[in-house]
Amino acid sequence: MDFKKAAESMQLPLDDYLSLVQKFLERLPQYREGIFSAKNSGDMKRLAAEAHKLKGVALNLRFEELAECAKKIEIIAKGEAQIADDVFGMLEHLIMEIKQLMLAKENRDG
Amino acid sequence: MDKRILVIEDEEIIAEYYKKILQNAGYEVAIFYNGNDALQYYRQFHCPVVVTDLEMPQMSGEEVIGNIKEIDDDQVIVVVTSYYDPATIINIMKKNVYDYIVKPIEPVEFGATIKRAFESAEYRKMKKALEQERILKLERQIEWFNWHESIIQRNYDRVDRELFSNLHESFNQGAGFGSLLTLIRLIASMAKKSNGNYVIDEQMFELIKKNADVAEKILNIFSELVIIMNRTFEFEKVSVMELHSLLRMIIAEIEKYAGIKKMKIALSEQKPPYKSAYVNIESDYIKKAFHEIFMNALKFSKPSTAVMVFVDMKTEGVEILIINTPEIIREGVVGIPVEYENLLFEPFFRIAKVVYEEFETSDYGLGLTLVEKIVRKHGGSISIANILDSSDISRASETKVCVRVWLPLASEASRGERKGA
Repeated sequence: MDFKKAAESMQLPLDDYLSLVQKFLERLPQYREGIFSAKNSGDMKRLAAEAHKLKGVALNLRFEELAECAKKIEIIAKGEAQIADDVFGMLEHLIMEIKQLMLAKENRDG
Repeated sequence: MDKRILVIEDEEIIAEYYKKILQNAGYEVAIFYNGNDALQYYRQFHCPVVVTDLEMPQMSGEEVIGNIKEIDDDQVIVVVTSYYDPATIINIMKKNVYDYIVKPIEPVEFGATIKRAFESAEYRKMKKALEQERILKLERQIEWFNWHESIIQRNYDRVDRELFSNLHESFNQGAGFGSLLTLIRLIASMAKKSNGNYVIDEQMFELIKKNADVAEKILNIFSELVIIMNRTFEFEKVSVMELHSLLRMIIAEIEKYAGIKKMKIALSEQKPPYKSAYVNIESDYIKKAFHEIFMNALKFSKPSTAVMVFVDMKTEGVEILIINTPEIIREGVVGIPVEYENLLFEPFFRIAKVVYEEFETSDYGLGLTLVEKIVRKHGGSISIANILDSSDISRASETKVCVRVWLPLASEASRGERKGA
């Protein structure tokens, strides 16, 4: 993930972009919790809505893989595809990856 | 221009993103995360443009649109949706929203859409002001005519004096006949005789040539007026769409002059009925007429304002309105004083005494005479009057000048048959 490129494509100064990513990181546990609690309770309508929310924000911030993953969950929840557990595993993985990316950037910048 | 924009988006991060790019583009952004709060704000502070997300908890985007349209059916609304589904989009567009954008937004496209939305809001506002002005005018028509007559009677002597004073000024101003006379008198007193010839100073001769060119220009306009009045026009049947394109072309041609006072000319969008309605025109002359009208609007406008051009289909004709924000010409005179409305088309009549050299026009008060003759030859009419724009409640009413050109539609039977007038 190239933050500079993402900021350019959103026509934002890098600092503004990073402040949005920071907010996103703070909200990520909520998005995650929303999706998993809906999944565990079997509430497919809520699952679709929660995945839809995450997809929207991720797409805007140019986290394309995460958005793709959320989109898959949304499609599954709407009954348009079969449930595949590895999608949720992938979601966990991507959330972790974004956190690490941001952490790595902070360490680099000192 | 009122640059306030109301954004309704439940996702805080996305809302924040919209805010940043809109603020960077110079807009004043009010953000709300739900429809209820947004509506409460909207009722109090009407905004020219509203951007709303479609998928929101509590109150959906559709409900927000419905509520806003109940308050103001003409509100410009841009919808942002993550659904690519054509049925959803068609359904939304049926609600008379201005445009839609599919998420994730592309900032360039988003910026362009918002810019167009503001232009549309400005058009709608101006149209509303015109409608209100029309109703007011109708309501007080009789009273107005009586008053108008009395004003003309009262000012007859003054107006008459003004006409002759204008003629005097026109012929004696910076360049042209007045200067030619002065130069010839100078030569007569200064030129030296040499071997039976007069020796004239080179600079003076150049000045004579320059002024002769200006005088020639005026004589050419006279000739043109005579030609227009006497010749039979060869009309060509064109669709209103083509007429609209012709106006756009003229606007593009005079764009460099708009830059002189940091102005712009905005033309209303084309509409589907323009394709199937026709007018009979002689393109060269219509072009000349609108060129003159647009140049006048630029010359007499306040800097950094816009000239708005509306093309509208009426039952029997096409109405073209050209609206500008006039500069104060001289103390107490803004735009077109009512007693001058009809005199504007008289030869040599000029309200402003200034010569606008940067616009490369002659400023002899013959332009509108020419325009009126051209329009009349097309079976149309032209009028110029002040209108009071009170549509923006955040500002005091503003006087604008509205030129109304009306051209008759070519009837089915006469289409293509009208060859002369």
